[in-house]
This record gives sequence, C-alpha cells and structure tokens, in this order.
Amino acid sequence: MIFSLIVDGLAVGSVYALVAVGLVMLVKSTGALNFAHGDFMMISTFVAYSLLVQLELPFWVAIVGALAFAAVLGMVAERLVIRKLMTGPMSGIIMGTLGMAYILQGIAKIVWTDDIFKFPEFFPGDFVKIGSASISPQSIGVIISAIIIITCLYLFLNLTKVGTGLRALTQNKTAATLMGIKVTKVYSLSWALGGILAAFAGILLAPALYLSTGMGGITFTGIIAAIIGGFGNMFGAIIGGYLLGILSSVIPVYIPTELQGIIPFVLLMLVLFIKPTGILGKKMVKKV
Amino acid sequence: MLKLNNITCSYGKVLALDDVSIHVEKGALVSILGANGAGKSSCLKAISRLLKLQAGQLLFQGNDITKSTPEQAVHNGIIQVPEGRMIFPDLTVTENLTMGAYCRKDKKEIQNDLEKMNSYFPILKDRRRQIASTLSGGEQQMLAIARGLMARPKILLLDEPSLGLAPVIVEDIFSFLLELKQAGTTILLVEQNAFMALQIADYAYVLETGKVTLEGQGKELLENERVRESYLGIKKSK
Repeated sequence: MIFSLIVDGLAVGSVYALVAVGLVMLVKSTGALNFAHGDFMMISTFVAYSLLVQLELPFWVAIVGALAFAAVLGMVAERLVIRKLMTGPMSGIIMGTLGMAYILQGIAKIVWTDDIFKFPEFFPGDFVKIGSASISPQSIGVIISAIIIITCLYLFLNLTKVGTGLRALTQNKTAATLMGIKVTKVYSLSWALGGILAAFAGILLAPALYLSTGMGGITFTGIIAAIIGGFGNMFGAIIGGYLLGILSSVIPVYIPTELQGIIPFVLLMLVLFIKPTGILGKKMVKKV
Repeated sequence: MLKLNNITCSYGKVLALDDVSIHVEKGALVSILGANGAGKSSCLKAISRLLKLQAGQLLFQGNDITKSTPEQAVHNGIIQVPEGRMIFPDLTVTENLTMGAYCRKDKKEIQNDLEKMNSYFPILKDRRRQIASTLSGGEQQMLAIARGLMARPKILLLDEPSLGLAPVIVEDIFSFLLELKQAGTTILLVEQNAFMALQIADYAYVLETGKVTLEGQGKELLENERVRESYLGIKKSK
C-alpha cells in the first residue's frame, strides 16, 4: 500500500517539479516571480481539452496546440507585463503577475464556465501489479514523461548556444549584452519556455485531477517546492517538488483529511527551520 | 578606425563626458588615463553603445554608429572586456569562451580559436572544465580577455585590466596586450595604472572630470611634468 502511494506521490511530485522548475527559471532569467504560473497551466490545459475533446483532434495535435498556445501566452506576458515591470520594484512584478492570474481565470471562466471537466487519460490500461501493490499506468506515464521533459530542458540549457546564453544572461546581464546576446530575445524565449513547462505540467496533472478554472492555485505549491529545494536552484526545485508530492500522498493516510492542506506549509517550515536557505540553497551574501 | 567626435553623455543630471574627442588608428594601442570617476569607463560604455550620447558622433571604419545597439556594436567587431572582468561565474571556462563567440556562425573556426586561447593562456586549458568563479583574480582577467578575443575583435576595448591584480600578473597581462598589438589588433585601453599604460601606448588621452585635458604620444606623456606629478606620483626634482 505504501509503495503505491509513493508512486502516486512521485507522479504528483513530477507535476510540482515541472511547475517549480518553470518558476525558478523565470525568476533567474527575468527576476519575476510569476504568480500567474498556475493559471498559465490551467488555461493551456483547457486549450488542450478543447482541442482533444470538443474538436476531437488526435492526442499529439492537442498537445502541440496547447504547448504552442502556452509559448505564445508566455511571450505576450513578457512583452506586455514583465518587460516594463522588471525595471521597477519587486512589488510591481508581484501585483503584475497576480493581475495576470486573475485575468486568465476570468477569461477561462467565460470560455469554459466554472464547471469541472474530466480530462481523458493519456496512458490507459490495466493496473500494473508489483508485489502486493497495484500501480496505475497513468502514474508511471506521468513520471517518465516528466523525467524526459526535465532532461530535455537540462540538455537545452547546457548543450545549446542559446541555452548557455540564457544561463549567461542570468549571471551577468551587462557581460551578456557585451557578448552580443540580444537580451530582450532571451527574455522572450525564457517566458515561452516557462509557458511550455506549465502547459506540460497541466496536461500531465489533469487526467489525475478534474479540470477546473481553480487549478491555478498550484502556483503556491510550486513556490513552496522551489523554496524547500533552495530558491534559485533548479535541481533543488525538482527535489522539492518530488518531496512535496510524496509526502502529500503518504501523510494524509495518517492524519485527518481537514489537515491535508497544511502539509506543504508544515514541510516548508520544517526544512527552513533546519536549513534556512533550503535543501540545495547557497548562503545568501548581501552585497553592500 | 574609431572616432569619437565631441561626445557628451550623462547619467541623469551628472555629466559623465563633456565634449570628448578621441581617435584610434587601425593597429594602434591607445590609452585613456584618469582618476576614478573621470569618465574613462563611460567612454567605453558609449562606444559599446551601453550609454546613449546626448551630443556628438561615433564613427567606426567610416560608418556612423551613433545610433546602433550593443548587439550591432559586437557584430561590427567592437568588443569590450569590461571593468571587474564580469566573467560568467557559474559557467565553465570553456562555456565562458564560447559565449565570447556568441555572434559568430563559423563553428570550425570557433573551435580553432578555442585552441588558440588555450595556447595563449595554458592555465585556462588546465581549468577548462572548472566553474569560472573558482579561478583566481588573474586567471579570471585572462579568461575575460580570452573571451573578448573569441569574438575576433576589430577593436578591443579594455576597462582596467590591472584592477585588483598583483604586480607580477599585471606585467604578464600588459606584455600579452603588447603581443596582441604587435599581431595587429587595435586596442583602446582604459587604465588607472598610468605608468604601465603609457609604456605600451602609441598615443594616450588624459581625462579629468569628463574632459580631455591632455593628449599625446605615450612616451611624450611619460615625460610630461603634469602627468608625472598627478598620475605617476613623481615630484619634480629641483
């Protein structure tokens, strides 16, 4: 029993990890904590749903369509909201991205109503028996997909010129400009990638959960995962995501249902109590 | 090759450059001297197009580049090695070097140039897989210069390459710059270390609070009383 709970937790954790990695990438590249990240996810997943169920298009067309939508959404958000706000104080960015979150929720409610929808499973089939535990093929599919997506992101950032340029830009903007790296192009690219990561997360999450306009709240779970892992560290975000996923799958068995919602926050406080910078976080050096 | 004609720039209300004219001939090594805040770095920022001009004109190889962007400056072959080195701390040495060639498309030649940098600075070859922040100050300066050269500069702008380095290493770096010059690279060098800069310069400008107050050949300025007193710390002997 515990084994199948852990596998389910890993599946949910994969989604948290994708959300957290996207958030961290945006913070590192443009300094913006994207409170609309979960709503990027929500609305892109609705787009996938419409293409798949309402227009009855094949799976891959729906996925590619939703990813393309998410990429464009990310770029538009960067161009219209982030680029102006990032030169100002952090509070401006917070309110700007929160504003985007409400706008996207509003649009989604108009287009798809407040109802909940059943999203078809991508990995159907019988439960796999391992010992006494039975594991859903959906969970296994989600875990493998997430690993593939994160690996692709890692390879892109480390082995391609543009990916390395993005990392260079996050480390020293002036120097990157002096290399001839077009800063605005890279910002745009990173928000397109952020959108794509969010859309992937939503498409993997939706079959396990019902699809609704309220699912954007996952932003906060993602932020908590990122902080637990050591804010600003992508590997940390992945670890934080999986840790949160497993614990919020296993612990509810032992505690009253009403307390489920506080698991992430308790874990957050525990980790920060032991290591204030998070699991992989470096010591912050404040420059005077 | 590079001409700054009567350039004026400011940060907000603070005037950084006031009617400055500087010329750099092809193949020459030109130095800009001056105290902290005299406007030396602003000059290079203006040339790299990081700083907007309020008045004046920038000419590079006969073309007006006054309105071009920082990326266009790099594409034109104007490459700056910034003050404080500004290497990418979490990238490896090799990644830092390849970033220098970001605007180039000739993959084979880039590979050759990587080899060339390794022969210029063998220490960088030994450390090629290391994260750049683990290098010593001198090694970081070598990396910053090598990264600049990876762009195949038509003119190399260097901002205080001696800053914070031990005298022995400063000498290494200056003799390397001299070699570069002799190999045909055009160099514009900004320095507080006036003695070193004047020794290798063909021509030099002295900036004081945003104005050019003195200019001449490197050797001439080394003998100039005012330069000796203000920048070399040598009192006039009776």
